[in-house]
Amino acid sequence: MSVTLLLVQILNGLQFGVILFLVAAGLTLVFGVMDFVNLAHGVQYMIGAYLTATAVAATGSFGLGLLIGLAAALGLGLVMEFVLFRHLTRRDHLEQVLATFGVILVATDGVKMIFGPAPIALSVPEAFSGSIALMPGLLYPVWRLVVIASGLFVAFLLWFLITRTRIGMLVRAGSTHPEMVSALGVDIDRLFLFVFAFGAMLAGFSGAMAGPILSVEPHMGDTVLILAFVVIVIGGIGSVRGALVASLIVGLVDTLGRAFATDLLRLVVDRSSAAQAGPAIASMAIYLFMAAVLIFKPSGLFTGERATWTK
Amino acid sequence: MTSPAPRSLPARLVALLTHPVTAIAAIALVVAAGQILDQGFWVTLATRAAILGLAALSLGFILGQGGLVSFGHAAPFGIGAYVVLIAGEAGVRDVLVLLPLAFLGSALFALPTGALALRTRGVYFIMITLAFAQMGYFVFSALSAYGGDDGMSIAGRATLLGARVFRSDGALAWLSIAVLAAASLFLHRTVGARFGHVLRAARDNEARTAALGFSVFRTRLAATMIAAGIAGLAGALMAEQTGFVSPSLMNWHRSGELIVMVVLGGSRRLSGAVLGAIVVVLVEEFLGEATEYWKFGLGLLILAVVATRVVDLPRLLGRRA
Amino acid sequence: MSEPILRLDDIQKRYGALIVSDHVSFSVGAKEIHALIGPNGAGKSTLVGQIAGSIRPDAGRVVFDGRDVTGLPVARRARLGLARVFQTSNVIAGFSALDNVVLAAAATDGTSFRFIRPLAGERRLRERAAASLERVGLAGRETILAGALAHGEKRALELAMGLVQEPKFLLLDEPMAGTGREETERLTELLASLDGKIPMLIVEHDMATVFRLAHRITVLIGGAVAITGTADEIRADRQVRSAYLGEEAP
Repeated sequence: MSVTLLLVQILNGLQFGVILFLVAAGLTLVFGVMDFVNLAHGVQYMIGAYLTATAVAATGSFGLGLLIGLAAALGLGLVMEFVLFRHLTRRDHLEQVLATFGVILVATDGVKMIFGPAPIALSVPEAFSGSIALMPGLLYPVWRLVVIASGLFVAFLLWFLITRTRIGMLVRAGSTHPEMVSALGVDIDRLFLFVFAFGAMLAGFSGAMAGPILSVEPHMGDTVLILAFVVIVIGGIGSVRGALVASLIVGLVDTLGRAFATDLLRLVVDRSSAAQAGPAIASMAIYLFMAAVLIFKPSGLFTGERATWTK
Repeated sequence: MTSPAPRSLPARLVALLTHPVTAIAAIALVVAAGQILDQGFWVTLATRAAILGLAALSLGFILGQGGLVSFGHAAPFGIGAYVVLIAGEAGVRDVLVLLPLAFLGSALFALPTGALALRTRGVYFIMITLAFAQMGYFVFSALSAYGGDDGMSIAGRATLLGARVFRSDGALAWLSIAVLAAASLFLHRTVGARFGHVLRAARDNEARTAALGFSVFRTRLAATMIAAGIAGLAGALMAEQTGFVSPSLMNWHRSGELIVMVVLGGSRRLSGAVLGAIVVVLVEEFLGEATEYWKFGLGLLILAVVATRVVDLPRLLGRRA
Repeated sequence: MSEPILRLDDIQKRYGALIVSDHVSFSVGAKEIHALIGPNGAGKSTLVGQIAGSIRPDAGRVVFDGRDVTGLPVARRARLGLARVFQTSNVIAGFSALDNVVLAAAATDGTSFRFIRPLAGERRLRERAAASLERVGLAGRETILAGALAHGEKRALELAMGLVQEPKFLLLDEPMAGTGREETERLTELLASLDGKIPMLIVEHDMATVFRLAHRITVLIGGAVAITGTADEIRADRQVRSAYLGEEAP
């Protein structure tokens, strides 16, 4: 295993972690602020990718397409919140699970009806196509670097919003003392609407950025959703900082595990059993990590304060 | 736990419909009719309802009686199926060995995963059960010796003491109904016995139940393992029926569908789950005949049910998240 | 006094900067009714939690019936004979009154792992439960859902659940809270009838009840034991009068 290969896999892991973070950040806030189980968050990721792909195809410009796609994802989030989710926030978790599972079924098959079950094309914008040499012998696709950079930018933006703005202060307060926020004359429903729609837009953005790398297809949200859950369990519900750290860990562990588990196993067992067991062990890695966190810190790595950055 | 005798006609109808025997008898009737009238399709459909009813029944036990919203019940179901595949490859084909093995395999999976999930509550519990089930899905997808992603055909239908009785779909249907009836009887007894009372008491008031001297954790873990074992039986029967095992048996959508079955039938009633399974199987069959997008219809049905709050929605978890 | 049933040994507990149990030590004798009093926020509830096992102390020991139970969970302590009556009415609302007590009685055999035999068919348990209900004045209310009982009845039901376990020790957290005058008197007489049979630690605000029942009284102020003594000693204590009974210090 060469150093170059290792570096490439680390970058891949970071890029995957960033995608997960964009999905998990919105989800963990919705959990933290409203104690609301939203299984349909993966749908927003998937629909974000579809909307962007459609808009890019229609306008011929990735930038314009992305903007339209984001606006549409935000709009859809607002509509979903208004029609369905706001009625569920004070209900029990079983009802939330049921309703959002229903949304998944409707949305997944709805997308299949409109776009067909096969993946659709979303190509890397021309300006960012191709690869650059990061060091001699290490060529890396520009787009993946753009994904990493934009994810880190969003992380910074979230940090700024949550720690430095009034709305962020309300989100922090709302996650710990909702009755106090209401007492301040703030409409908690509107706060939820904002958090929810913003989370939906982040998920849509994540889907749009991942679209050119993974394939844009109706079930693309499923895997990401469950990994986002793992991220939230590890990071602690409501903690955006926890989500960031846990996303990067999960992205790295998963990517490196899949890349190197078989090779590493060969050091201790023979070639054919390594080839058999390697992939199975690699696919368990993040879940075992989650189990370890649950044993030692049952409420996540960044607990105590919910929905915060700093404390 | 004695309920007053229902007076009005509608109340009697509901009581009859939700009687534990009714749903199972209905399935048996369809199988019998299918055999007499030579309608193989009826037999297949009824077997499917019995098998999914069995899985839903086991989930209903922990969800309704225990208040534990597991979103990972497809995992023990799938593991039961894989036990049949793996044991078959090793030459074990007798149903009297396969079914106990499937029960054991799934119950053992629930021991560590359940113990970890039960350390948490509410939203966490839902996410963790889902995550562990997905782990099972990926592990079996990675096992290339057993077909990996694509899955694999089982070595052939099981035998009974060496006799190849289950070559006929009818015999397999009756086996499935017998297992469903036995599990239903056992769980109904358990609900009325001390174990069921402690499980419900812990659902309603965990602190009180512990202060009386019951170990809530051990009771819940045992319930989770029993439910997983029974789901394993259902998975094993499913493998026998379709003759094919793949990771898609443990797809997380199946976990969701099992929850839907339980809630459709009314989660507080143990027998409701079988009824709910029949409804979902019928929706799948008849909607699936009309359109390949039958899940769209199922999704709308779920949303409609939640929206109108027709369901027997217990205030299950909401107490303290 | 013979070997105490309960001994608290230098119990310490803090939440952040807040000290809720400050080197608490006292004991309850084998035949004693001991009362724990103190102003709101004195740390009584936290101490009850540490005795019952729902809260772990940071340091110190809880010795119950000659055995160090500091590390044991709630259920284990209960099986050793420590019965708790909660501050807020804490019954299984969805069960009938009788089933609540039957469940409590079942807990004394220590197992929930009985799968087939109907609980309704365990005759011996039901007889014990019915007797316990009668003892607290709930005869005739057996089939009512516990959640539908009046507040005072729930308190009585709690007591029935405790008594049916034939405990070695009763931990009563404000058993009279929210009950009417008549009810309070009846419950007090019932507890008095157990004097010498079951030792108790009773946390109570109603001073008439405390002085009527308790052999000794421990006063908790600011997380620390201010004094342990007989009713007369407590009445006479200046610190108690100023801090607790609300009288100005002379």
